[in-house]
Amino acid sequence: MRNLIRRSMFSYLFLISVASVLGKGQNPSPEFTLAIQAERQSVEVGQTVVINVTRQNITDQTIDDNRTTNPMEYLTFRVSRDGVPVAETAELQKMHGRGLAPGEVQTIVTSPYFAKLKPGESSHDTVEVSHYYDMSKPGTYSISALQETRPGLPEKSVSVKSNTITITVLPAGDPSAAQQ
Amino acid sequence: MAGQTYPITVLGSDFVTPAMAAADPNCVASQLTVSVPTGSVILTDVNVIDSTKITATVQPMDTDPAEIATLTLWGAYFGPMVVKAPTRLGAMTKPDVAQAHPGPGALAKPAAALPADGGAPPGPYLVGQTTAAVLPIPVITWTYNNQEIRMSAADGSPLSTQNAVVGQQIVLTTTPKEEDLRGLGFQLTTNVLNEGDSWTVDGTIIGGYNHSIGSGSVKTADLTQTGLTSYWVYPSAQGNPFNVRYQYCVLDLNAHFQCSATANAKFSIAGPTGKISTDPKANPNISSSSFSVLLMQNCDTPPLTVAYLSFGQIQSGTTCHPIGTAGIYFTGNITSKGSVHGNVKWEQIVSEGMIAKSSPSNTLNLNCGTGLDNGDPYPAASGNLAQDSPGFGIEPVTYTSGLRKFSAVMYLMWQSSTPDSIMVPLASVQWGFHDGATGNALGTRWSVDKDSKASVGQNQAITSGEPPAFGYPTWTTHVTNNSCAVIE
Repeated sequence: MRNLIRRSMFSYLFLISVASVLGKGQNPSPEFTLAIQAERQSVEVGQTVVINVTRQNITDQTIDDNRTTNPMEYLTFRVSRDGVPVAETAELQKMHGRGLAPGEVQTIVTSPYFAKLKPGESSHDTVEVSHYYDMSKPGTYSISALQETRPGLPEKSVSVKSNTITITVLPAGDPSAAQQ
Repeated sequence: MAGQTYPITVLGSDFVTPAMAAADPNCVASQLTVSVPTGSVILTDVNVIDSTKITATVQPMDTDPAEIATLTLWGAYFGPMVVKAPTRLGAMTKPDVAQAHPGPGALAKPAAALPADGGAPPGPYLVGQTTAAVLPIPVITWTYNNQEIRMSAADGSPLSTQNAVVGQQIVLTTTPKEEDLRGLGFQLTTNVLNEGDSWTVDGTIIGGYNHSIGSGSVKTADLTQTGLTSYWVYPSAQGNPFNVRYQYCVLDLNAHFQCSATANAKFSIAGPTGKISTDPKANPNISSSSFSVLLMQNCDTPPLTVAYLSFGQIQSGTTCHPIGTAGIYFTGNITSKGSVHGNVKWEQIVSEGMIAKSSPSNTLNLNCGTGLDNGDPYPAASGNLAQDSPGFGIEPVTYTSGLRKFSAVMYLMWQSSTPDSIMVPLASVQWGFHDGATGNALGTRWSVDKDSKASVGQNQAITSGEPPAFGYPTWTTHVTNNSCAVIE
């Protein structure tokens, strides 16, 4: 009986591995493209940096565009200042269960957002990136975004990468920020 | 002040009345004249009362710009004089007799009238001169699309009513400019006659709506300046445009306070009205069947499996990519009488978010915060549709039950497509629920508690608002998914 269970488990694990390899071998293609655009090309220190994210269905079928009420749960940003990656804010770390203070617990509290995208249709997110990444110093920041097509399901998912944009954070009081 | 009539009094000595001049051929009657560089000032009722006092009336024209008017006294010169008037009139210049020159009618005087001692002829001579600044009626100008539209006439009355929309940035400027007034010796000062405000504006205006995830607040319009940048929040009634009035006040060199006449402008403000429809329909007893509990994984590495209790029907997927139907849908219905173009936006303010997770030996109480719900604008929305399905995870085995109380207000907002516009509130709906789920000791079977219930209030149209919020959603805190504080 014990051998039978072992054999069954082995077969089960083998099937999972094959499925995983097949899944990767099939190399799922992305169903959407991701594009980002800054609301303002330059801001002053202390001003918010807001990015508009656009997903466009590039298939000929309607796809799920299910997300949650916080884009930072399904979008990952790469933010660097003058070429050096910047730190996540405590808010983002806490949101992902990282950097919890003693006594704090990770908890899953979220709200799904159910949506679909018809062929060619787009959906949009507005993300205040400076709320989640340290953009408090003047400099030139480059920003790109990543989104998994099937978050939490790596064998079925593809990472979709956006374009990279540049935002200048100017010292406080710099008049050129207002002209942008 | 332009457009207004003022009595003036000239005080001095040795003035010559017409009667005295008629009686003595060596005397000329004292005379007053007034001149301005570009406009005109009417001088009437000049009356040489006696040898020490002259009265008259001056009236700068409506159209007079900010400029200096010169008041000149002609006649036989005997000594210094002082003019008393409500405007900036100081002591008259004492002219040097040698510099005195003939004034009106002087050429008509025969040379034989020259005194035998070779002194000055009887005149009239320029006896004294003083200046008074003309305080012009202000003009209101609206700068729109890089064009300057004059809103008020020379006499201060409104010109054509202009059309704008709610949330549109309205930039008004005025003349005279502060620097022009300063050049005339005037210092702009607080309009104490109007509670310190230079502007009086009908309707509800604000100076801005500052909003980010961290905070949302309304900036009050600054009505004390010579310019006004503001936004109307609510439309004007059909055929009843909003009036805008502007008046400035100054202190002259003698610290005398005076205010200009009032310039008037009219704006007709269009804007949509909005209504929020909800699905499920407004119902005080939305039953436990609106909730679901499902064992799900989150998207962390390694993933965490939880019993996910949600307002809404979750069928499968992960907590960051779920599949199902939402607990509540909001539809914004926008109607407008005129042609207005803009976009719908949503903001949600959470007013309560408490969670308790329990096992027979342990209870964890969490405060998941209040304030703006995750994003600005509210992220789970597209166009005139928004939705929400608040859920939370209960760690199986560790806990055998979970409870949640949640309430929020969803706001329907609208933003004009005009440049530099801001959102305006149209409607709101208050809603909330309390739900719970209970699992077995192994954490493998979970069910929604029967007394779980949601309630959705009626649509509240927002058509007016008092400070400080003026009807807007405001916040100083925010709610972030997966971020709750443990309550000790």
